[in-house]
Amino acid sequence: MTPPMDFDRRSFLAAAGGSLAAMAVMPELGFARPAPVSADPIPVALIGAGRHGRALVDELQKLEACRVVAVCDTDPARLESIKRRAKDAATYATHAELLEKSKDVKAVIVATPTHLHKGPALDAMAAGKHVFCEAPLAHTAEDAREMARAAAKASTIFQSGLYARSNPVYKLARGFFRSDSVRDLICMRAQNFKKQTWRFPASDPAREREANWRLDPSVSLGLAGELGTHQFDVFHYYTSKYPKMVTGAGSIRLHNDSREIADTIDCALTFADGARLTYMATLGNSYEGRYEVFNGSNAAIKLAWSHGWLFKESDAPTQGWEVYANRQQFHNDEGITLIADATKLASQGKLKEGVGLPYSPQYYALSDFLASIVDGKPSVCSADEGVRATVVGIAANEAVRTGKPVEITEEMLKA
Amino acid sequence: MIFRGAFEAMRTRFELVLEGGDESRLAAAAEDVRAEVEACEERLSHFRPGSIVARINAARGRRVRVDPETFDLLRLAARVHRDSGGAFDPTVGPLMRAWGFRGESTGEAGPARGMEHLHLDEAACEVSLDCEASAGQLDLGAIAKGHALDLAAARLAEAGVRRGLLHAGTSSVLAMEAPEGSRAWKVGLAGVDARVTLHRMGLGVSAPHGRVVAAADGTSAGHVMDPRTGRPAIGATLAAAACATAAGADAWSTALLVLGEAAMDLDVRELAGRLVVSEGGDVRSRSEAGPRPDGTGESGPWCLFETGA
Repeated sequence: MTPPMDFDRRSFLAAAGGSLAAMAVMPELGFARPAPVSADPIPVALIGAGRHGRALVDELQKLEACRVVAVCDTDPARLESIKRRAKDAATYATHAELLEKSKDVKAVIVATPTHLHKGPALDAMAAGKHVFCEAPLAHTAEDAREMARAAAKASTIFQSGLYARSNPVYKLARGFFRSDSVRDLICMRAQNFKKQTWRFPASDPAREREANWRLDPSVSLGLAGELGTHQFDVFHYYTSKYPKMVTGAGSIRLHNDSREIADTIDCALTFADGARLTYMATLGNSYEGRYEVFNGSNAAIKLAWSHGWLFKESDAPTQGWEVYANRQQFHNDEGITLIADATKLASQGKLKEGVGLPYSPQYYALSDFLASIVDGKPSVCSADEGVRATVVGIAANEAVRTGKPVEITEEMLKA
Repeated sequence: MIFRGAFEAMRTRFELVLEGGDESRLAAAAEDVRAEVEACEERLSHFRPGSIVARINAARGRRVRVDPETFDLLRLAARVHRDSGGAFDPTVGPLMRAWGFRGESTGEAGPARGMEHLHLDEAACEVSLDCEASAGQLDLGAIAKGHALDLAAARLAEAGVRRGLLHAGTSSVLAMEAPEGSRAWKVGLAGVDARVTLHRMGLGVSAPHGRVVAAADGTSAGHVMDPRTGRPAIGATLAAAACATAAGADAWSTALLVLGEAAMDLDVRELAGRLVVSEGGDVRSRSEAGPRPDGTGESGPWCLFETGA
C-alpha cells in the first residue's frame, strides 16, 4: 500500500509557483473528465437492485461506453422493476449465478448492503472482472482489508465508491483549498440532515429484516458509518490526513419504533495537529441538508454535493478571476459560487444557469470507473483509500454507539 | 391505518394518502415514492442538462439510448399527438419561449412541427429528434408529473401497498384501489360544479390560468399552447381527462383544453372519462368506463364524471 501523502500547504505552493498563479489558473481547468468512449460498449453487471442500485442504473444508461447486461438481486420484485430500466439485462437471484452465466460481463457494480459487499466483490475479482464497490467497503475493517488485498493482486480496476473523488465541484474546490485560498485551517464541520425513516419497504413481510439491514446493529454502521464515511473522506481527500481520535454520541430523537440505531448523532474527529472536524447527522430534520465546510484564516469553503461556495474574509487578497465570479447571498455572507468549467460557461453565457452539476455525482464516479477501464489508467479511488475511509467510518460509529473515545492508529489504516 | 405524506419535487408539491399495514411500513413506501419521483425528475426535466430530455434536444438528430419506461412515455406522447390531431405536442418548447414562459419572449413562432421529426426505434430503445432547435424541442413538462405518479404506484405495488391516492400539484392525480369499505376515490374539481369518482385510474386537469403573460394586443395569454396555431389555447377554460395511466390523463387533459368543446365528440378508446368547461362556462362531461349498475366488475379500473347538484 502507498502510505497517505502528508500534505503540506507551503511545499505545494512552492511546487505550484505561488498562490496567485495557482489560483488564477484554477477556474480554467476542466474538472470533469470527459465521458469515456468505447467502440464496443463495456458489458456491465449490477449486483444489488435496491433504491441505490436503481439510481446507479439510471446513471449507467447515460454513459455510452457501457451497457447494463446483467442484474442480480435476491428480491424478484426488484428484478422485475429494474427490467423496466435496463431492457436487455439478464436477471439473476445470486451473484454466483450471474458470474457463471453472464460470461460477457467485464465490469461489476457492487451495490448490495454494506455487510454483503465482500462476497460479490471478491468473487468478481477472482473471475477477472473490474469492480466498482460502494463505500463503506464493508462493515468490518477485516473484510475491507481482505477486499483491498484481493484488489492489489488483481490486474483489473477496483474503484471505491467515494463520490467526492470524482465530483467536479469538489475537485475544483480542492484546487482552491490546496492553493492557499483558505490558508490556515481553523476548523472543519459537516452535517447530513434529512427527515426520513431510514426504513425500506419489502415486497413481502419475510424480507422486512433483510430490507432494513441499516437498522440492524449487528451489521449496520449507523449514520456515522453509512453516511459519515463519504463525508469524512472529503476531508481526507482535501488534506491527505486522517483523524487520530474520534468521540461521539447518539440518541433516538424522532423515530421511536423500537429501533436501536440512533437517528441523531454527533461526532468530533481530531487530527494529529489538533484540527477538529465536527459532524452531525439526523433523520429527524432536513434543514440545510448535507454539506462539508472548511474554515480557514482567509476563507471558508462550503461544499454541498452538487454545489460549492467560497466565503472570503474581508482582509483576504483579491484575485482577478473573482471579477467574473457568480455570487450568492446567504444571510450576511456572500458566497462566490465554485463552478467547474466556469470560463467555458461564461463564454457561452451560461454561467448563472450552470451553478450546479449537470449530472449526479454518481454519474461522474461511474464515468471515471469506465474511463479507467478504457484507458487502462489507475482507479481514481483505490481499494486502499476505501479501506482508510471505511476504518474511520467504523471508528466513528463505534464512538457513537459506546459513547467512548476511539483511537485510530496508523496500523488500523493499513490495507 | 391511513398514512399521509408530502414532499416537494418537479417544482410542485406531491401528496399521498396510503392505506394498509403499519405506519412505519407505509412511511418507508412513501420514501421510496419520493426517491422514484426525484429520479424521474432527473431523467425528464428539460431544466437539468443531464436529463434524457436535455440529451435528446442537444443530440440534434443523433440517436440517444433511453430506458424502456421513458421510451413508453414518448410512445404515449406520440400516440396522443396523433389521436388528438396535433392538439397535444411535447415539442412546444420554442412556443413557450416565444411567448415568454421561459424568460424573455423571443417573438411569435408558427405551429409546432417537432413531432414530425421525433423518431422512436423500439427495437433499439433509441430516440432522435432530427430538427433544428428553432423548429421543436422536446419538453415533457405536461406529462412528466403523471408519469412520476405511475412510477410511484408501481413502486408502491412492489412494496405491497395497493390502496392509495397520489397527486402532484392537484393537476395530476392517480387513484389506486379505494380505502377498505369504500368503492372508489372521489375528487372535486375546484371552481367547477363537478365530481369525479375514480378507481385505479389517472386523472389530469388542465387550465390556462395560473401562469399567464401579457400578449401583444394587451390581453393575457395562458401557458397552454395550441401547437396547431402556435398561439395560446383558447378552446376551453378547464379540461379534465381520466385514463388508465396518470401520464395518459395528463396528455389528454392538455389536448382537451386545446380542442375545447370539439373534444366531446372525439372517439378515443384510451379516454375513459372527460370534462370540458367552455369559455361561456358550460360544463360537459362524458364517462366511457363507469361502474356497472349491478356493482360487478368494480375491482377493475373505472371512473365516473358527474356534473350539477
